[in-house]
Amino acid sequence: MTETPVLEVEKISTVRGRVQVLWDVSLSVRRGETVAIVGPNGAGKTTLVGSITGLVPPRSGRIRVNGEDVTGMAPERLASRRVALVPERRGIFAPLSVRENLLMGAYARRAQRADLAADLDDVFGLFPALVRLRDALAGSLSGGEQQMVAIGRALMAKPELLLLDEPSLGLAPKVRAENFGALARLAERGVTILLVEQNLRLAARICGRAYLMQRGRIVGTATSEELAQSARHVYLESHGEAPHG
Amino acid sequence: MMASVWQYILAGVVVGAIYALIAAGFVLIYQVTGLINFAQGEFAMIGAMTAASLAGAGMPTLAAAGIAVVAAAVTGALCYLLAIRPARAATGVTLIFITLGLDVALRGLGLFVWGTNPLSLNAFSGGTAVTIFGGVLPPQALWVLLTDVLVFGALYLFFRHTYTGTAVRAAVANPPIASTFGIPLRTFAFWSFVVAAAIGGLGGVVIAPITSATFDMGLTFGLAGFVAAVLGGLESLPGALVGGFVLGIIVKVAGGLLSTGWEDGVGFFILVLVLVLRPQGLLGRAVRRA
Repeated sequence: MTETPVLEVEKISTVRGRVQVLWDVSLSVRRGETVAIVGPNGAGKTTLVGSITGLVPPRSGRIRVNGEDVTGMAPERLASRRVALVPERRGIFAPLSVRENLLMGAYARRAQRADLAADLDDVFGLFPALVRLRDALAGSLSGGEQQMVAIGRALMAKPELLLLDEPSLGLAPKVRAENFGALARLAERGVTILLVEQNLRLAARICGRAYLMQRGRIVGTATSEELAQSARHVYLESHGEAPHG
Repeated sequence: MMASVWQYILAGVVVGAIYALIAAGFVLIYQVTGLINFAQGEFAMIGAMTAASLAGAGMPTLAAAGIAVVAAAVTGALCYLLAIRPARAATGVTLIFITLGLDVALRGLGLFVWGTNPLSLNAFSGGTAVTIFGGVLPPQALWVLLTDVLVFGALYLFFRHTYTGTAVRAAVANPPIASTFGIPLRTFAFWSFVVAAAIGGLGGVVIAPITSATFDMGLTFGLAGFVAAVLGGLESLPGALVGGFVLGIIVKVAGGLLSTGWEDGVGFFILVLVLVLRPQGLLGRAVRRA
């Protein structure tokens, strides 16, 4: 008997305003997998994440989380199914402190105070740079630090499925590497991750496989090796060298 | 002359405390829902008229005051459930017109239930007037100021030191992302109306022994509360507090020196001045738009 996927997206089509952005998009993510969605700007990746989280409900198709149909479910209800989002451009609560931001990640869990304290320590263990910033206003942090807060906040939800929308966007290479190192450790712990990313090299570093998206459609799939190979081709082409193999 | 001005200032502090309470209601609802509720002053009328009529029927003043605050809170809940929530998909302008309609409807309800005659309410306690540097404050004025301390203190503790209060601040900061963590935006919107109405009702109850209660008092208090909220920047509870006191003092001093008939006019003049010269309010920071 096959295990029920944590996430199943079945032929969803989504409209924003008067424009159809997604066309019959299907994908699935099994427990413990780290899957990437890669594609150029405007491919519909963020809309796909919005449709999964209920922020932009699809017009047709089905979305299931652990076998339960959650299509069109309001985001606040979906949160109780342990689906957590690290949104594009971080979406932190700027007027709240780092600690308060992290605590808000656990809102849907209605956890005990002692559990929250242990979970906070866990996040601070993953991102030691946040320890000294715990009482700082999140809006005053650098982009990389805010990204750590956004990931830590999502982890406080103890997610069954962690969605990350372009976590490398606008970050310096060193900070990007640190954050992806933390994501790799999460993947090793068995957290199920769906990562939206334009940077193929970073995606290949932590993902087992990838869906390729273009103009609102899934146009193919790739293994992490194929993704790494593509990243190398793109790199060489952008540096004026002919790719080999 | 100076003694008179000092007395006007003290009177301004008292009425400013009530403006601050009404302004707090404006700010709460605006922060949580993005909506300016022009029916806010009517909650003060509901509170004042309910307390005065119940006390007039023989109920102890404090018990009547308690029931009146609950009546105002229930009115706020009904306003949200029956008028605002069904129209939540409407544009901001439509929703503002709905609140203006609620304002007229509630004032009409007040006229229907209580008529045009003013009702009086006994002061909460006896005692002698307090003299401060030659100016006089009636004992009820101390109740008014105590109410401000308790309400703003409770709001501060709630927003800064409780988990739910922090969640409200998160919902205000980034509503869609807050919702993805299970923070219930609609529930908070409902409670913002209930709490704002209760605070407005409490303001009406504590000021009624000084001003008496009339079916149309909500219009004056609502507009003054709105001006105070705008003075404070519309997004800050400390701003509402400062805005209330500043407006109350200016209005009472101007009214005392010129004529009481000028009070409302001065209030509106201040509103126009603030909107033109300092739209971010007294405590707000200017936001540059590209």
